Amino acid sequence: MDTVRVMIVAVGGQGNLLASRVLGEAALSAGVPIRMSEIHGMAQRGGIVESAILLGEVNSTIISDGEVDVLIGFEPSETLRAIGKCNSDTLVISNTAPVPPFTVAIGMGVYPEVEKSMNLISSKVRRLIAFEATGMAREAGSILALNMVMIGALAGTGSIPLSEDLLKQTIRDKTKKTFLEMNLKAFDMGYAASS
Amino acid sequence: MMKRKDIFLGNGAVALGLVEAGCQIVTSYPGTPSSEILPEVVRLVKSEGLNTYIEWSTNEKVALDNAFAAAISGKRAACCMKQVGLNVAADSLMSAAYLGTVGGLVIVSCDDPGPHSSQTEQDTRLMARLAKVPVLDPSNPKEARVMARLAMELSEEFRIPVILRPAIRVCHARQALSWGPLKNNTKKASFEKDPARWAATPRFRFILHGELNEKLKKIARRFEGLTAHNFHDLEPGKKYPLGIIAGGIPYSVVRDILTEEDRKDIPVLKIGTPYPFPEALADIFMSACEKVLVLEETDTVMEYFLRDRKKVLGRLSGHVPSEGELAPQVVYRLVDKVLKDLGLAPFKGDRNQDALDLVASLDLPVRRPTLCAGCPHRASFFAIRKARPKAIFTSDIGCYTLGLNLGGVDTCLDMGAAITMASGFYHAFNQDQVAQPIVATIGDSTFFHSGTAGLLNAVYNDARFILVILDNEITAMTGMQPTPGLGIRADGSKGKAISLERVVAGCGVDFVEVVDPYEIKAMTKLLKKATEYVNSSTGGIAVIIARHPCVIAYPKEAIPERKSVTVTDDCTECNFCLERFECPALYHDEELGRTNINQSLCTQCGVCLQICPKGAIVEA
Repeated sequence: MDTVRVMIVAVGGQGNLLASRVLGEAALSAGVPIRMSEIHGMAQRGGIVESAILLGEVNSTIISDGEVDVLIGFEPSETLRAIGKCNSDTLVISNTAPVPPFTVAIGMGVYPEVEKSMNLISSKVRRLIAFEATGMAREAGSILALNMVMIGALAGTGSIPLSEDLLKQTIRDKTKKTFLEMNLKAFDMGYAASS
Repeated sequence: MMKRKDIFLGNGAVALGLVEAGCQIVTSYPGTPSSEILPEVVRLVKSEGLNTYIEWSTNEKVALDNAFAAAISGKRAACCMKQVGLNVAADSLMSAAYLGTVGGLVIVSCDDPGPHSSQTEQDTRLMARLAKVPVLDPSNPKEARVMARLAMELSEEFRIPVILRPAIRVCHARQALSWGPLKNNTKKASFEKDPARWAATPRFRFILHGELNEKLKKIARRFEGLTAHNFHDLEPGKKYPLGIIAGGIPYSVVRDILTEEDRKDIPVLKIGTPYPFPEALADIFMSACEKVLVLEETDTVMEYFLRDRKKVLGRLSGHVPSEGELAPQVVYRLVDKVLKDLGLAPFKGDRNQDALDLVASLDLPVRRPTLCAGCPHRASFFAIRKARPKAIFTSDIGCYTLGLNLGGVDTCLDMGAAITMASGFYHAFNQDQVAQPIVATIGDSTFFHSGTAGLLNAVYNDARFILVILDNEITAMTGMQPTPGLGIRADGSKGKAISLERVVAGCGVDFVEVVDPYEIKAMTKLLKKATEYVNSSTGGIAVIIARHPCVIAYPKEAIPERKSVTVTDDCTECNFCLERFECPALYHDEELGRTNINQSLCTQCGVCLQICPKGAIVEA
């Protein structure tokens, strides 16, 4: 199979490491070669959390500039910040609900207008799917389900060799039982938003 | 039992390799990117019912000494740390190399090129060279697992400590591995007295040094033929204008780039054993290439071992950056430039330069790390700045280094330096008869790691300052490892809790008081009392233990009574709260024209109810 390079960018606390884990476990059970990487430590305290999921035969787990096949942004300004990793053939899935950095509150920097950001992204890549995913997560039960909305949206595009059923089964097996119903609802809402 | 396939974190792969190697003793002090190794050992040991002895040691030197003793009792032992932790353990390492082992001793030291979460980018391979011990450099989690086993076998065979050096991108990569079942190593401890070795005086050390040099020669010969980790893809008899010698993560990166670019004209020599360096293998590779580019992280090690300097392109020739990670885009650009400089076909890929230029031109707002909403350290720093606004704030390594956003941290040197630099500042100013106020902050785990020697020294030499021990009852920054103060051990079993108050008093400090930093008024008052003590002729060092549980590790205990908070129209947009308290849940609401609370980030700790000069932050 061709290598598919997926990158997730989020703000600390948005749950992207669990999203990567679900993709990884699903790939493992489907027999798809998988490598991943993530950042821990100081960056997790309110910083940018980036993870890479590489499906197919590769050596390195880091994704170079211009090499991302699918970019998933949990936060619109972070999606924009990561477009150097994309190319003219990349598919981008982005949440449009902002989480402005604290620095903006004390006058260090200006938060970019969301619509303008989405237009800029759109001009650089093959396809952009942008929607208010945080609201969907809230509707599903909690904003903590944002990661499941985003995985659902990824599944809806059919851009990775992991099926909707397989991903849902992995969510059943690998996430906390108390949140299962909410997680699956969030997944379905994301799926419907992108398919 | 059947083998199973699971996804392992790189640090989990190291843990798996160690346990598979029959490692009986594992010690560690947490530090990014090494922190998950010991918890992964605990996980494997529990799931497989093994009797491995596991401990979080108080620091890296303590960890290495403990593991060393086990290794000279004939057992297999390992200790794990981050690269700067190896500095702390260096005294032990240098000596242990001379003494040698009986069983196996593997030191896992994880490097942090970047750096992402460290004070330096130092290269553990240079420490191995300095100590004269072998070092293995894995290029992915799978190889890290195999190398952990190999390191243990080499150590036992040659009776020498062996270092495994995974870099952060190996530690925090994930890869699927087949494994199981695991079994206990039943080797019993036995210590054969031999004072000429285990308590060697300088005359015997000279002899042991010669012995060590002989071991290294033999290991170098072994490494020449270690084809699983040292290999190249030269075609026999063929000559190449350019070859690449690479190890660790840069090997994985350049391998992928060459595959993507379909460049079979550039051979690669992969080196997994940078020291002792397999010189003969490198000579074969060098003689087939007109020029050789060396890609290694983070410093210059292999490059120094290549004798035909005229052929070598690397850091010394200015072709490879001397700082920072060799990330794929960095490697791509530098190899492409070398190809162009040598008149060879350049890479074909498009790196989407205009998108990169666009992002650079947008000046997107910075997202800097910050203390969590509800963090007790924030309250401590607020009180400290209020009580001692003109002080020099020496601090230390942990989450609370982020107190620099609050103006509460002026220095951060190394583990324990909050205290030693406070006494240093005191004496520097006192010599000029200047009464410079100084407030030092150090976390509980860091204090147990390296605080006591500095505190003893400061008391003994009559320094005067306030020391605030920020006791959140956990090692938070590195992922919530227990501290000696808690009395919970690495495997979750009960240990003896060590009282910070008694340790501080034992260091000769006569002013030791405990306060809950959530009570900002009480803490401010206590800081003023401490100031009087420090300044009085009969006073000394004042220690305040600011004790409140970490809001992430103990959400219920940290906030027993939740307080819903709101901001009234009394807010004058002075931004005092945003600048001095810097809670992520506070923001300036343009529409309302005042500060507002982001309820989804707010932990309802209620600390901010005490800070607004206009009294505009109130309970809802």
